[in-house]
Amino acid sequence: MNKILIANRGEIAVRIIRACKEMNIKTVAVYSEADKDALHTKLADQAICIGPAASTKSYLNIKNIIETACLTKADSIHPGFGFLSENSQFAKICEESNIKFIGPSSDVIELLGNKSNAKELMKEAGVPVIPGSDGRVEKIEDAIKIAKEIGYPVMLKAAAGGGGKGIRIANNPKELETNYNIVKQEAKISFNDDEIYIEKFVKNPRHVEIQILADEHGNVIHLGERDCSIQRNHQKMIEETPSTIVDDKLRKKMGEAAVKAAKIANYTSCGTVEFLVDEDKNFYFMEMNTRIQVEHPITEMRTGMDLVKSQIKIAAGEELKIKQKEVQFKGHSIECRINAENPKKKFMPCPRKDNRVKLARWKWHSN
Amino acid sequence: MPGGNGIRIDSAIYEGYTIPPHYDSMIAKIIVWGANRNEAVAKMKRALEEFVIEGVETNRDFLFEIIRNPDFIRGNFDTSFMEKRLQYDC
Repeated sequence: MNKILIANRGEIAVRIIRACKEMNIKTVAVYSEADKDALHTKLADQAICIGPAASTKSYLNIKNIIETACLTKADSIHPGFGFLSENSQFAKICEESNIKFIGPSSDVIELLGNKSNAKELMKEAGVPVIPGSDGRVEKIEDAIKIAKEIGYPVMLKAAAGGGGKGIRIANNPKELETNYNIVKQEAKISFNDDEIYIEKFVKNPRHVEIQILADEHGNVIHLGERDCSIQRNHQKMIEETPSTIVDDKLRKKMGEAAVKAAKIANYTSCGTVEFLVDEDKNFYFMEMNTRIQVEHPITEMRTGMDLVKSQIKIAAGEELKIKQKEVQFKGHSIECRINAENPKKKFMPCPRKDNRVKLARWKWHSN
Repeated sequence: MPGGNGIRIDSAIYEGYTIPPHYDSMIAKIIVWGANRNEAVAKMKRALEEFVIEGVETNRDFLFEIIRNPDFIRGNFDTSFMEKRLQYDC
């Protein structure tokens, strides 16, 4: 691997460029017209404008990104998180253009991107899943029947959903009927896919996810958990590892389940298996994220490993050098996400055209 | 910007940078490491205090409230924590 194009912006683009520099790999930053002064454009070896401010015309513009990769002779693309990171079509086009997509194969992204298919697969592998419809729900009558079997409250979810969108809870058949139509509509509008499924609503769960690394030679290891229960509207705000509810025994059990999940999906690269843990410490597979995650640094702090570098090495075909029993967990790590938003105004995003960042200017005490 | 032993800032902002309104609102991640949870919480408190930025409003004070919340400190929380205990409308 000689040159990586980073198809992203912001801190994750910077994070990836920094890893590449340390590995002596050349970097190409891409940016929108609104990002010409962004830090990632300054740190990379090359920076190419790929379109106007709107992300659909720049950071989501597959054609322009692939063309830029060809033009700059980049041999691989790192998608970061968000944008095209879990777009199987993009990964497929990379594969067909002989550009290494730094992540799992397009088939795996597609398989795990459909939440109900992923759940089915995990069930087959013996990974615990939340009771619910086996796959899609075709009509409201079926939804009512399944809800009766598994018991209320139930959750209606868009199969293609994510980031907290396309999820509703129903406490009784009446609510189920109303929300069924709402979720179907939301799914159609947000994801252009109105497939929905239903599952039991786990009360007061913790969100605990397991980080895994899988190479192209069949080796899979896990790097422990991250507790991401502090969320607002399904958006994570604070993450920590270890989780205060996970002991060595549960960590081993969940870690083994996550490794099993990665193996059955033929997973390669870094990835995250998300679980819900209920009050009795039963855990259930939720979904698998096929990308590097926002909260990956806390795992790096606790294990001393560099996840972005590992991801690049795996994409280059290297074998994992570390065995499961050699993974060491040390201390405690927490992450807080600082957002430009106003908690007093319903968390309205704040950036406006006149928002120029001024870093701290301390006033010195005179004594 | 915060710093010191056990503190890592992953961010793409810099002095004089104008945050474009078109993208995700996350502008920085503060990551701390401590020998145990109490030390990590103490470090996060200090880091949030030192995170002073002008020109743009952030959720810093809100995060500070959570870190100081007795239930958070005791590890007594679940995914409904924000909704239930902090009474912001979610």
